[in-house]
Amino acid sequence: MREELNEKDLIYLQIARMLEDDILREVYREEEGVPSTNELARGYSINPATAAKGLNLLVDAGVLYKRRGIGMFVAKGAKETVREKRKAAFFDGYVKPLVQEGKFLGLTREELLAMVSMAQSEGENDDE
Amino acid sequence: MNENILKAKGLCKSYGSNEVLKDLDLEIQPGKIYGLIGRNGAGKTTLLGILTGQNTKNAGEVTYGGEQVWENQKALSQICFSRELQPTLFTGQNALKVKNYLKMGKLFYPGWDQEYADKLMAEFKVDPKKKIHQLSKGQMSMVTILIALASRAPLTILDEPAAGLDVVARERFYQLLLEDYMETGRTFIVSTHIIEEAASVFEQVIILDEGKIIENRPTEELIAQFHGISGREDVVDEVTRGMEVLSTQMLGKHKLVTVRADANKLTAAQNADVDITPLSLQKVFVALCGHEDTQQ
Amino acid sequence: MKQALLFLWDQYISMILRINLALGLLILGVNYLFPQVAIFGSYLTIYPLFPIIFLLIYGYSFTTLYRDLALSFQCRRTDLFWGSQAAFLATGLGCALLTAVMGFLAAHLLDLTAIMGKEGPLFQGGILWAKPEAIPVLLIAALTLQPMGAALGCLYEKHKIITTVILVVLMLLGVASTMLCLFIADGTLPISPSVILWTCVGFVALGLVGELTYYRSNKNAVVR
Repeated sequence: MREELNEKDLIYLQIARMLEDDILREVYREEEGVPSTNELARGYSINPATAAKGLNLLVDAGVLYKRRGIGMFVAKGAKETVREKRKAAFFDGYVKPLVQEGKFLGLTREELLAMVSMAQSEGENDDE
Repeated sequence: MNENILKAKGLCKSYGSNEVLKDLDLEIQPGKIYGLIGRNGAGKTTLLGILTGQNTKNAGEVTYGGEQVWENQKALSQICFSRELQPTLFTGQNALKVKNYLKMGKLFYPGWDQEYADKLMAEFKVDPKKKIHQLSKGQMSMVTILIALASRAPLTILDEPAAGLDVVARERFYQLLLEDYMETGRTFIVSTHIIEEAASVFEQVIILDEGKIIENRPTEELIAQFHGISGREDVVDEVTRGMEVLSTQMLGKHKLVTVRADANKLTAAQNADVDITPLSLQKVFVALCGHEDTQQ
Repeated sequence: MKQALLFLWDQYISMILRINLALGLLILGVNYLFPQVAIFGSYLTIYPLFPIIFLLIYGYSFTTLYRDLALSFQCRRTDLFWGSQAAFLATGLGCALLTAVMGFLAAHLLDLTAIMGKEGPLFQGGILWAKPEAIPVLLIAALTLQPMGAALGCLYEKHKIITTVILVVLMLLGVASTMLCLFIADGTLPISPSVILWTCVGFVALGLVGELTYYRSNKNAVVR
């Protein structure tokens, strides 16, 4: 999880997103417990109601589930659920603006795709 | 019925010809941390004083758990209003000692937690034998906070607790407040003008403006209603038509507006060539209460 | 009510009595140890005035300081008012008693004529209350000065300058009348009982006006 919350986005969304990140990175695996409302509230100095809202968002999305009196756990298939959800968000949040910005700069489809594949191969080189 | 709800109805208060509160209504539900924000001179302390029976009102009523607060021992003992300490009183220096205040807490709050008070005294390194006017501003705030927390009163009110504290101490205060809240689940009202860093601590925000409560709702619900929209003037005008526009700023042909609108009303704007940014609580507050300063 | 009384005992009554006791013992002590130091002797001569005259200032601080403190800790105004009546009585009588005890001790432990020289007999009378005529005036002053002070504290909020002037005048009057008591007491001034009576009546009247003012202000007192 990140150390700091940013001041721009709604806090419960940030909490939910951080947990999603950790599930994608397998910090929390299926059937493992995630931090409780109070732990999150303490860790980030936020109101427990806000932390609970973030957790409940993931419960509603089927990523987490509650065990009465014990806490919140990562649901079966959570990683896939998160990935699908984030893929859709990626399309809306990154790909669409990318295309729009390309159009704004007058890039052709070919130029844009070439840039994307160039960035991708650069990224691969960095990983080596 | 009405268990532990603090209710104010039709409150009016004037100082001479200066109307501070105008037919004000407010309801405080138990078990939440409320943030009370308002501009300087908006009447926050006056309001808190009236809610706790420490100040008089010209009209209206205040009840706690369905009973009058004014001169009612049962209601009064459930409420702690930890005021800002004054280094000078109107007759001179405040020569009362820190321990005078602590003794008062022990005497008047049925739930007073002496062990907790001692622990905080040690942590804050405040000498109980010191006189109030000998304390630094930060130490005065610490005494205020200490009394509020150790009172363990079901309804605890803090007036500008963070005002004299440095950043480190403020962080610690929010931590202590949250710890206490998670342990006891009691109700807190915290008035502050350091809005941004406190926003995440408040479950609900109360905004006092021109003698009235203009907002009293969950912090995130409030913030989610406000957006900054910027782009070319005509496009911005087009997408914000029919929205409640709170402030407008021009920069060449570029227009920046602050709007209040539900997320579903923004779909049109999302597809248009404009930037939509969420607002922080501080920006929301400025948009709502900055009226007299933003005239152009 | 219990809380109000405990608060008044702890932070008002016992504090005032402790201060006066300490002051009295200090003055007796230095005169016992250094009977030849003149300045200590003059402290002794005016000592009987202190505990009584200070009552006006205590009453004043009650409404300008202690009432705010109590109300800010959610004390009920009615409890504070009736509690303070008991407190005024206790401190007033306590201070009068202290004066008497200190006078008694002074007469038995110290060589007053040596300490006070020529003025000795004059002030000796004050300390010892040799003449019983002065006792009612002193007692009534002790009981009425606090409500007067309390009323002045209430008045101060609205009329700062006037109140300060009244306060100073009253202090001077207090000093003068207590001095008068001393003169009467040791027989320097042979004043008729009717003057003593009217002085008492004056104190009582002012005390009642003080009570009324304080009572009315207290009903809607506000924490500042």
